[in-house]
Amino acid sequence: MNNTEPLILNIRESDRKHYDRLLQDAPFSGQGNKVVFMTAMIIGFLKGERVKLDKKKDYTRTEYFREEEKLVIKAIAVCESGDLKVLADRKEVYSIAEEFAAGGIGILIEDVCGPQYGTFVKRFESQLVSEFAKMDQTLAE
Amino acid sequence: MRLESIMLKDFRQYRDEIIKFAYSDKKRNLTVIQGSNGAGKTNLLNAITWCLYAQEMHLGDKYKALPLMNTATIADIQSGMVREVLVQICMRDEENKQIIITRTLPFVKSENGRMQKTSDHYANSPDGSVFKIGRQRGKEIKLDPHPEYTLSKIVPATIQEYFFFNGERLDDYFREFSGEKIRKAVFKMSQIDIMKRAIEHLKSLKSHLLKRHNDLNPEVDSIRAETERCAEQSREHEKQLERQRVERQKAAEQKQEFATKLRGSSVPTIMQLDEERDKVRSDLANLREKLGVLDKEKFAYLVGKAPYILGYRAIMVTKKLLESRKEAGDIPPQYRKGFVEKLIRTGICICGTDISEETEHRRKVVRLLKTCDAISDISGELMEDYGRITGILGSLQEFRKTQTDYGKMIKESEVNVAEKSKRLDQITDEIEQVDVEKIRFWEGKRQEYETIEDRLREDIGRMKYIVDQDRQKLDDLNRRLMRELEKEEKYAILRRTLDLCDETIREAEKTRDSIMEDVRTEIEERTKKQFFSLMWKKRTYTDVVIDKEYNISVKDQSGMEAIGTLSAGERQVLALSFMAALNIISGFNSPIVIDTPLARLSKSVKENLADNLSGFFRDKQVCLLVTDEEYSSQVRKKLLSGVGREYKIQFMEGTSGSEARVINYE
Repeated sequence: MNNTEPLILNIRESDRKHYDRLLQDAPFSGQGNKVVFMTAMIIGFLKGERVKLDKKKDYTRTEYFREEEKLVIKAIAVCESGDLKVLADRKEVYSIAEEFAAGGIGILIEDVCGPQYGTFVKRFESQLVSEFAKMDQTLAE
Repeated sequence: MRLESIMLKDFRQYRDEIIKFAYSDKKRNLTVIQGSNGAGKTNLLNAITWCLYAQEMHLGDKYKALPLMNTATIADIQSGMVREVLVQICMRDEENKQIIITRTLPFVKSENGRMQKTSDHYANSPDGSVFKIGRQRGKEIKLDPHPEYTLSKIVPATIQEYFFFNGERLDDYFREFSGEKIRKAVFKMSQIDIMKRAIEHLKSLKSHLLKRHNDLNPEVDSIRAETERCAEQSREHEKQLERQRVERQKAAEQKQEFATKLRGSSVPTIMQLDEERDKVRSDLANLREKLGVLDKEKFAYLVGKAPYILGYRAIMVTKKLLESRKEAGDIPPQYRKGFVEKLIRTGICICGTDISEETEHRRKVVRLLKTCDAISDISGELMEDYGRITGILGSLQEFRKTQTDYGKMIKESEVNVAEKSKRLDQITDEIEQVDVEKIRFWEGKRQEYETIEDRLREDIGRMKYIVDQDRQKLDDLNRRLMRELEKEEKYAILRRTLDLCDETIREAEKTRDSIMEDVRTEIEERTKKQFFSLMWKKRTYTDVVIDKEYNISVKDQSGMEAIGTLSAGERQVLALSFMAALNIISGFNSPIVIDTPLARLSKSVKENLADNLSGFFRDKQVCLLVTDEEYSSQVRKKLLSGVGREYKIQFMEGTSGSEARVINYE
């Protein structure tokens, strides 16, 4: 078991251009690497897209993440493995996050820069509102 | 420490006995208890080890099948009755103060006539017995609150075998004369064990410091490089912003130039319209800038909340698992896995018991380790995470309201922008309707520069946001850099501590080796002296050597190894000599009880031992449990001057059970 939190989170070397492109223009310009990574990861998780990293590239540092954001990363690892024991192996926890981000970045770049109708922000917002409504209903039950 | 008496109640063949030992006169501190084979000598030794350590260390196969309680007593009592086995050892310390050590174990007689252990509220030992030590304070005996600790000062369990032993079995000691076995004995008895533990503690401290050292390892250079990169990027963005401002200024000046020309024209309507247009244009620019900022803020809010909303399913799965583990009592855990692993690694239990060897204690700790879950080490963090989940779910309650509020503000701004744009278009149309070619050209140019200015204004808004983000990142990096610089200082201190730790370990190991060498030499000398004082083949064997690896050897006349040629009796003499040497160097001035010490010895060795016994154990209080064959009239005659008390065990076998009585020898 490796219980030391990694200093660096990696992306696939081939995805670097997508990350850079997203940060160049609205809406992600000025948001920082961490935000793009988290968004790609959560989209990857939601769509069930988990991709092994062949060639790794340093991207962001774990110390930039707030404890609440780290908790989402851990929760995804728990949900994926079905057991809390995975949390005793931080390397594995962050590895799962990297793999989901690798799965999600392609979907994200397509959604932001692709030819879909309407803006990404509007679609993103309406997805969040819809997921929140479902969540709210579950909590009420 | 001297043994004054032992009281036995219903312990094996002893129903109710008190045996007093010779202890007050140093010259006559030998007690001899003679008994035939099976009369109860070994069970007296067992009574002592049971009382002190809750274990009968020398229990014979015959007795393993029999109950601890006296069989005659069992037959006498009715079913349902409770009786306890009691062994009480009375000792005197160096100040002649009494120490009373008692162990009791209650039994209840069941319907089938068997004795079953019954629970005692005060039980404090693994076998369910109650262990107490009373110490004399003034004229009163007060209960010792830490009996195990006090016992460890009398004879610790780890070295009891060198004080209470069976002479016949000593032969086994050197049957496989392993250096390791002897080294361990020397370690335990000479208390170098403490030194060893101190060194292990220092090494564990060093490894802990090394981990911190690695954690601390400052990253000043990499952060400094990153800060420089970020600063460079920020400077580039600021330059870009400045260029955009200059361009906008130029565009504004150009626009103003044509506007001035328009105002200077002789068409007063144009002048008024142009002035209004300037104002509307300025309002519109401000509104657009505000709209841009609102859009950015709203997106930052949405993207920040997205992981919690879209990751809600994962968060709830984790929450449920945490709740079930909390309900199962796994969080917080009774023991942390890492902690139990460390105990096994260091070989010392939290209670101080040595678990480095394959003992029941170690097995218990290993069993405990198997019950420890991997998450036990991170249970604190899991508790915090559980609290965080509740916090996150709480903070999401505001999501709809905040998102709607942003929507309303953006809508309001968009309406304002639309109104101002509409008015601007109206003014432009009105001006364009004036049929003057030159004015149209000026208006065309003015509009062109206005468009450029508008575009630049938006670019500047975006660039301002980016520059702000750059500044925030730079601030973060500078803070990190400061932290790393502080670490660098701590790192240097830690490095010095590590060096000190290393040096201390080196010195401690040197000291340990030097003590061990002294101890080894002394044991070798004493063993040799005792061995040759007992041996009759003084010419056959010439030397006893304990080498640096603690291999013991007996040399013959030609200097060759002769330990393999020793008879069982000779090996017993060697072991007895070695035991006596260990006993003397141990520093524990506790009594020695030896069962059948002379059984395998030849007549002359027996007599030699009897002659030299007081010197052999250097005035230590000794109790010998001997058979009638061992205690021949010759041996008795030689021992008698040192004997303070002399008993005989009388064994009686009845129909319902057996009983032993200890009576005066004559």
